Order: sequence, then structure tokens, then C-alpha cells
Amino acid sequence: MLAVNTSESRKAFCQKIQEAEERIIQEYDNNQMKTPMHLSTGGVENFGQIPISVGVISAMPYAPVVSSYRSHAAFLAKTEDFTHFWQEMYGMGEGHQGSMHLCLPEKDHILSTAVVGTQIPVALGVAYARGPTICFFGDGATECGVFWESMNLASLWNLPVLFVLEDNNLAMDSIKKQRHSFDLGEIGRLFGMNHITIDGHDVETVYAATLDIRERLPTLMVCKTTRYPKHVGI
Amino acid sequence: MQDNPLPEACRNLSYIQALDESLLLNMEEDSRIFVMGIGLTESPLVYSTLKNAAQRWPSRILNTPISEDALTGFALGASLGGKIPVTVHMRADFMLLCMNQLVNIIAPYTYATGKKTPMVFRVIIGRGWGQGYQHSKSLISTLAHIPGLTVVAPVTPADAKGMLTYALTKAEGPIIFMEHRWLYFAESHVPYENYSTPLQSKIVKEGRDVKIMASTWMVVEALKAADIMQKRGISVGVLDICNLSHPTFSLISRWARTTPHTIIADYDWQFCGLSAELLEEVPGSIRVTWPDAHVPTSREKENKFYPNALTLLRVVEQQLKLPAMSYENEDFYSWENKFKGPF
Repeated sequence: MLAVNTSESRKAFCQKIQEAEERIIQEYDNNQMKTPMHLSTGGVENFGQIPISVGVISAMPYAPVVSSYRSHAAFLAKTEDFTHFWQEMYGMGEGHQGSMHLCLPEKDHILSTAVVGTQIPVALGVAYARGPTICFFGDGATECGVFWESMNLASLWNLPVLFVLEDNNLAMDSIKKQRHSFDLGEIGRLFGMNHITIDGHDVETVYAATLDIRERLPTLMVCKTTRYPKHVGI
Repeated sequence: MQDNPLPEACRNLSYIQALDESLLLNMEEDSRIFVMGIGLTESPLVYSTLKNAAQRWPSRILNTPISEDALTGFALGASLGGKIPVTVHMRADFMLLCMNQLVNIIAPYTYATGKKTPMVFRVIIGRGWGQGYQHSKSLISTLAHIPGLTVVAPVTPADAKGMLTYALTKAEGPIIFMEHRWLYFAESHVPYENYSTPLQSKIVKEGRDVKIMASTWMVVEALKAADIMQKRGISVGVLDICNLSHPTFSLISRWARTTPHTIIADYDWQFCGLSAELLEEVPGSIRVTWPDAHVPTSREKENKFYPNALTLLRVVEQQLKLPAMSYENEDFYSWENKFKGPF
């Protein structure tokens, strides 16, 4: 998304992604999109989780991306390929990905995965082979063993990964208090890794923070955000 | 042991030396290849199979934390980023820690995107002494069950070198490369040059009366049984299945159906397994496999658990209605004496 390089264009791109998700909501009941949807839209409130993807990718347009099943925003921000997006929503074209596994490796959106946490170590390998890499995941993924293995490995081998932790306080419908005995803000320090906690609701905040730390990877960037839709569905 | 139709310039190498040489030659030719695994850079360098490669390119041999799950995902990322990772697991049992990445993420990746994912997992299987149920399974059928994975198990040093080269230079997806730990001490003629051996089943020995289709270590036991039967005037043929996820069924079927007596000898459990797939291809075969039980840790129980040449001899006797002979002068399990452990 090399063209999205101003404050106005970032906001406009958030709007464009939001409109795509709102269109999914409007048309989902027609039962033509037979794929489980994990949305990021803010609806009438704001842009929901979308500013995180747009802000980070806009600040590091050169970096390959891996993401979770809640990946519409990351996919569209990285590839700007709305054609592939809608083909996969409707199960047309190749139809091998659906909503949950959206990716186009040739456009450097390397992977989206539908098993929580599984994309994290893949980002490490991409970073080892190619350099700076963006890895999106949620607060739920920090409960997976592979997250801790990956934090250790990234720090130990000094792998240039930007870990973007989208903290919406929810894993399906369980809040963090029911799930965590640890503080997300403490994790980076435990591994001797750069870390920062920011407000993920504002695209310019995310953009500026990413610019600031993109030369100092690995970094764990905790983005406080809000999920307005259900875990899955509309 | 089998002799491939090989170029003339050969000399004897052990399985260990053959693997080391393949890595050395291919890492020389392709800078994308790197090797990783737990404790790799420390002695004994995976039975010395990394000896020369580690000396030549220490920075391309990665000693890793005990994080099999993350390293498997790391391998995918590295492969997608243009590298060719070789992950070494000292026991196949540890592959179970990789299954989330391997089965959920890696195996379907090419299906989902069309992009190739070359990578190799060198996995050591088989009997040591007392290694038991968490250290000496083979998991052949468990892994072969998954679309997108290729599971191979070379038996001769010549095949070990050629098939590892194939995996490193021609494969388009993940290759699980199984190495039985007793085979490390096998020797055969191995060419000097770098060559690639297709991942296919192969006839190791022709035989008229009975035919045995065997996987990994059972090829050695089948050849031993064939030698002993020859003294009784019985001609036993042996086929190395070699590619355990994609056996060359056309060859197997054509070869096996030329005799009414066939045996399938698989180095794994039976239920839902490779032996059942071969049985469908060659109906009426007798299956010789591991019992439906866990791998034991004591010597006496190990000897009962693992089928060997004697097991095969008894099956041949039954098939041909021969009197059961005493083979007390024959030396069974003699290869174990070459196994030095402790890995």
C-alpha cells in the first residue's frame, strides 16, 4: 500500500475496509458467503480494529505480513486486492482460502491462519530469510505455548519481527481476567525485547509508533483496541 | 544390500558418511540450504551426519531451543522466504510436537496458495536399546496419512545420499526423511558425484517363490530371511517400499502378483496403516507389523515386540507348507551390535 502515505489516505483506507466489512454484514444473510466471518469493523462507533492494520502496514510497506483469521483489514491493507478478497468471500475463483485463510504470498501477505497462534513462528522464519516482517495476532494467542517459544526465539536470534498484539480483551467471549495470570505489557521486558503499548483505535498513533520502532526489531507492540462484532459471524 | 545402477566411480561409504556427503555437496551448490535442530552443533553432530557440513558452514547449522512447535512454523516461514530448511529430530516421537504446524499449516499451504514449500525434516526412527514408547516409534502411517506430506525412508547409503539430494534439490513440498538408527552403520557403494535418486519403491532382490514388500529396517530383515531361505532352496524376493506415503503401486502390483505368496513387512503399527494400503493393492498378503501395543523398554520384551527375519521365515514356512526349522545357528539382530547409542 505504497500510495497510502498521508493521514488523509490512511483514514480513507480505513473507511474503504470498513465499507467492505459493512457490505459483508448487509449481504451475509443472503447466504451466498458461506464462510465463517471474523470482523474488525467498528460499525457506527469508529473503525474498530482496522486502524492497527492500516497504521502498521502504511509505516512498513516493504515488510511481508502474516496474520490471524481476523485478517480482512491486514489483507486489504497489504495487498489492496479487493477482487481476490470478494472472490474468496463468495467461494469463487480458486476458492481455497475463504475468509479465514486469506493471503497472497506473491503480494507479500504470506499467511493467515485459523488456528490461534500458529502464524507467529512462521513470521520468524520469514524474517530470518528476508528481513523485517509484520506479525499480527490477538491477546488470545499469548495463551499459546508457541507464542512463548517464538518470543524466546525472536529475541535469542535477534529476528526483525514486529509483533503486533491486538489486545481487544476478548478470546471468543472470555475476557482477559478469566484467562491471564500475566500482564501483556510485561512480556517484552521478560525477553529483553523492545516493547511499547499504544492506543490502537487511532490510525495516526499506530502509524507514528510503528515508524518510531521499525528500525529496532524485534519489538512487541501492544495495541489496545475494541472488538465490536461477535467473535465469529455478523 | 541393494546395489543401484550407479555411475562407475564408487567407493564404500556408510549411511552416516553418505548423508554427510549429500549435505556437504548440496550446501556447497545452494546457499539457501540450512540445517536446524536441538543440540545440533554439539557432539555427536547427529551421529556425525553433520560432521563436514558443520565444519564447513558453522553459521548454517542452527542450534535451537527445545521449541519444536515454533521451529516447524519457522521452517515454513524460511521456506516461503526463499530458504531450504532441513530440520533434524533425534527421535520421530518429537514430530508429534510439530503436528499443529505440519498438519494444519504446512501441509495445506500449497493447496491454499499454489506456492511451493520445499523443506526437509530428517527424522530418526527405530529401535535403540530400551528407548521405549516415547523415543522409538516410527509414526510412518500417522504422517503418511496427511495429504501434502511425503514420507520416505531410504535403506542403503546410496539411496540415503541420492534421496536426500532429491529432497534438497527437486522436492516442491515438505519431505519427511526417516532414518532408522541401526541403518547408520550400513555400507554400500556410493558414487562420488552429486546425484538425485527418485523417491520411488524399488526391487531389491528378485525371487520366485515368495515376495516380501518391506519398509525401512524390515528390508534388512527380509534380505536376511531371503538369504536363509536360499539355503533351503527357496527363492524369496524383496521390494523396498521406500516412499511410504506414495508407494509406487504400479511397480508393487506388477511385481507382487507374479507369485501367489506375498508378505507385507511394515515397521509400524498395523491398524489404519501403510500395510493395509499395500494389502488392498496385493490382496491375500500376510502382514508382518508391530503388535497393537506400545514399544517396550526391556531387552526381552523388545525382542518379542519387533518382528525380524525369524518372524518372516515362519510366515514363509506356513505359506509354502514347509516344516518349521530351527535356525539356531543363524545370527538374528546382529546389527544391534553395531549400534553404539546413547541416542
